[in-house]
Amino acid sequence: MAVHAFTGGLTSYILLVVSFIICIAGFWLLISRWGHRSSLRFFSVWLNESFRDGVISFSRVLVFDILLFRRIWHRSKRRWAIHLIMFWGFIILTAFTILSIIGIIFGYIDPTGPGGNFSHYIAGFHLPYDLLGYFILVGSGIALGRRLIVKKVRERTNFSDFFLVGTVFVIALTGMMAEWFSGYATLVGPFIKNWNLALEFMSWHIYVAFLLFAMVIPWTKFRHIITVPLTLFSRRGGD
Amino acid sequence: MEGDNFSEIQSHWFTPLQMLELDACTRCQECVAACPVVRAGIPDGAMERIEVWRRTCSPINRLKSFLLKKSESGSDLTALFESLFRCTTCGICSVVCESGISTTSLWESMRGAGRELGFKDAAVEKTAEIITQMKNPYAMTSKIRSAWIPDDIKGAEFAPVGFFAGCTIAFRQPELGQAALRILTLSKTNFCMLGPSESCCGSFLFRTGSMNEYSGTILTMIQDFEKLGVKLVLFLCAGCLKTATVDWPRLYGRSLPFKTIPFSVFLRDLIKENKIIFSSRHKLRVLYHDPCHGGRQLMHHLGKDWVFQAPRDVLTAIPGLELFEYSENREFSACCGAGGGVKTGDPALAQSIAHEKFDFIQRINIDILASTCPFCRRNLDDARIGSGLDIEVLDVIELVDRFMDKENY
Repeated sequence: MAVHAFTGGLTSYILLVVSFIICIAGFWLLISRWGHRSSLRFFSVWLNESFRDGVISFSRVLVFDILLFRRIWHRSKRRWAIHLIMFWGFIILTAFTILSIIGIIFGYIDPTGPGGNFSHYIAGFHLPYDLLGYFILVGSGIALGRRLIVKKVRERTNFSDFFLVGTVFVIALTGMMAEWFSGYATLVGPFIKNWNLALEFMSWHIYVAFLLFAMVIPWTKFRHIITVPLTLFSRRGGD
Repeated sequence: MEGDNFSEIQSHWFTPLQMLELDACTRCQECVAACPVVRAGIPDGAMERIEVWRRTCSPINRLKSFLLKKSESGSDLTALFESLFRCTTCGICSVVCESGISTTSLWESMRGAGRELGFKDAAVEKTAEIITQMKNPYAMTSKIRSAWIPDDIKGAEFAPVGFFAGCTIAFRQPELGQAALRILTLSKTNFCMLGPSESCCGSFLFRTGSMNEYSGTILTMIQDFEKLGVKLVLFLCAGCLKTATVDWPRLYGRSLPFKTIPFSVFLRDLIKENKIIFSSRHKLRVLYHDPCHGGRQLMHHLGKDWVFQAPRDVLTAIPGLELFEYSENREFSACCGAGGGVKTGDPALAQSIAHEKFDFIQRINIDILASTCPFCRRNLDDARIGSGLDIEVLDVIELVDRFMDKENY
């Protein structure tokens, strides 16, 4: 759906800028704290440790530990499969969304020229976009359900855990609802097409993605998106 | 600590990377599931410790404290430090951590922070004081430190191979040291020892965040080994080995002037060189327990072959010996419960953890439970007595000594 419209208009653009500023400010504060009030000190220590065993070791950690989750593979193949799908699903969906926003802007500026062609080209990626959306929806749904239903897991789950899983679930759900009502969704097709509802859910999708995710990454448990790779690099994959 | 001075909490206790690690916990709960202390019924594991520390230090909490002029975190912190001193620092949480957090050193830093904030464990404080004054944790006079060495065995004055016995062997389990000396002598190894000038390696002080003026004693020992011309030092005790390999270089400020070697690696080399010959076959079923401090905590420093494979190779070299494995072994080995000062601070907990290991042993038929750590040996033997099982708990060195064909040397 996001492939079709970035429909929030000016509000969305303001949200985008404000979220970006709050997010960057949060990271700056976070990094300063890690470096004992000096972000430079942190980067200096981090770079020193991360490249201590050379570029090859750094690349190995990047590929095996960060992109392919080697440590989770060693513990549980099931968890590994879920993590891999969720991680890559989220990354590819984000890339698609960014591309679609660029396409929409190009299409708006130049609807009949190369901009419009690019916009139409991007809109052709429905199937992979939809499949990844289903993966994320099911994956985050299972994670949320586990935390609500399994007593042992629930007892050790706090608000920040619920916030993270819940936000991912809501982002995925609103996005998929918009997609279903758009009439373009794979598997659902045009049967429940309702353009007004699609736009409504699209707006929710955008607001939630900005306010409960992009803006709060450094302020919530979402910060692990950055801190885990940084830790794995500096600990050379935990080795 | 009254619980209302958490504004004192600053970041200087942690390195920048540890500060990063405190924010890298994803609360995946893997550490909780694997923790032997949690399994023994103590509620707060690694994940909760990081969460409490993070919450206490959060800007929101500081602001709340400033505005309300009181802290709501005192009880949280008390629980955190109680949980910290019940941690065996076995490091399984580090192995299973999806984020690769180096938890063991994080706990050591946190314990140091706790001591500065006033959260002190009486038993730990007492032992730390004894070590600083007496140079060993058993309150024994240094004059009798070498009393365990048999009169007929003399090390060289200067030699390339050094042997570090450690306090537990010198004062509590001399039979291990005596076995080692017999093997070194029979294999005609040119070795030397520090003798009465040997002191505690400082393991307890490092593990509990209590290292203070004792660092000078460790530096003196390093220099003493250097003066003896030692190129490699053999360790029988997993705790001493870990401390010398990981913590001594930090204190020394550079690489040590000698290599630290697990005794089982040296034994394996002697066996390969036919310097150890075993007597005829002995039908024995042996289960090997991987010690945490000499195993997973050193696997990235000394390599998995040295810390996991070498003792197994030594055991399987004994004719007729059948080696058995725990369901959780090598880097995933379950702790015996004695580490991190827990045997001293909470002996009942240490025993409770050890009994978990005997649940597995009761399901298989073995004659001997072997390890390469005197602390594991002691704690597992205590648990064996409690379980009533008719097995022996021995060190690998004792098995080698027992089955060596001494008449052919």
